[in-house]
Amino acid sequence: MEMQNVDVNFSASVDSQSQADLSTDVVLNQDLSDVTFDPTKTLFLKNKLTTTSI
Amino acid sequence: MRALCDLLPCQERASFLGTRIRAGLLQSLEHLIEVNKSVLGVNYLKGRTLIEHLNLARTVKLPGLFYALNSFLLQATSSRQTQSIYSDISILFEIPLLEEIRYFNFTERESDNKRNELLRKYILFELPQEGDISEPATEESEKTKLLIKEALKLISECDEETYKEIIEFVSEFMILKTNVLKAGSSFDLYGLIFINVANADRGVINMVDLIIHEVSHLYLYNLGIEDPLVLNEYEEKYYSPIKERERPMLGVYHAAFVLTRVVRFLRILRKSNLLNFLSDILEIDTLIDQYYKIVSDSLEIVNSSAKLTNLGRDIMQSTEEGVKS
Repeated sequence: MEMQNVDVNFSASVDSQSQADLSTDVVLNQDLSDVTFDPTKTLFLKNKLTTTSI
Repeated sequence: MRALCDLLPCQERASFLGTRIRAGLLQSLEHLIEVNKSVLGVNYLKGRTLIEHLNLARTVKLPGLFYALNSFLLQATSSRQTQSIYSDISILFEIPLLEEIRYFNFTERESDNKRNELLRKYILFELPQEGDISEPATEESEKTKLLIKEALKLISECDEETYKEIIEFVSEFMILKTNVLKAGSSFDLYGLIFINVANADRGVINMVDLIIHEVSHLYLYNLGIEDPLVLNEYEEKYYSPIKERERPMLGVYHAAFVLTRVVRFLRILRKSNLLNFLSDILEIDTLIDQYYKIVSDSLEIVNSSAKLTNLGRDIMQSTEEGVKS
């Protein structure tokens, strides 16, 4: 069963904050040169084989 | 609760592991949204609000594409793909959230392009370059969906712990059309099992086999976030008895474990009074013989050449005991 109420509640809370929208041009001009992530806070597999199929 | 190394399925352990990986994914997405704040625009607030909501709505199953997006964001952040991060984060807001297992078809509408790029990337991993996936015909996919449900019913009647583990680990069954695989699963699409529509004509025992097989992969993937299990380099290749070609050691290792679990389940099913057709009994006997041989050969390769962590070694010990019992 899909959680319709989840989507509704979620949309309502976001709409109230959407005035901070930025244009695509502005966003794409940002650079990520100072962006780094903390590996201890991210989820990844400790092995390179990540998909298996038969 | 059973130990992590124990071959046998266990609902309590599955629930613990399911909660752990779910929390890990949400923390990871939250962190990646935060570090990419400067490029996300309005989607920064939308993303934060969604994660906040999902942290509270603990019974909501997370779609496999959330894991795909996490893997993509990790890679895109490392390689500074600003435009992709800005546009692809919207996938988070387009996928229905679920309380029960979702059955759906791979579809090829234009609006699915971003999602399909991720699905193709992770499903076709390690497969021949000419391999592809496409949308299944409605009639066949409905037949496949019914067969999955019939298989789940049979599993629940045969072995409750196996069934409960499936319910804990699986969020979605995606039906697709392809000529390169029967079924599969991925850490990068965790919880999603993809099944070829060609299985529609193969009967319930085949579907039981596929489901137990893929859920056993999900179990090992789940453990793999804390422990690599196998330490051999990915580039080192070994003969894989199930694939009949060279593969990384982890592939041989996975095969030994998942096929032993399938053999174990089929032995229980064979002894039950749930089988109505001689053809099903004969199919089970054939599968048990075939998988027993593959497991034996795989274990020989693992025992002679694998470098294992302590947990990795204990799991193989339980596997070896399980297949011989």
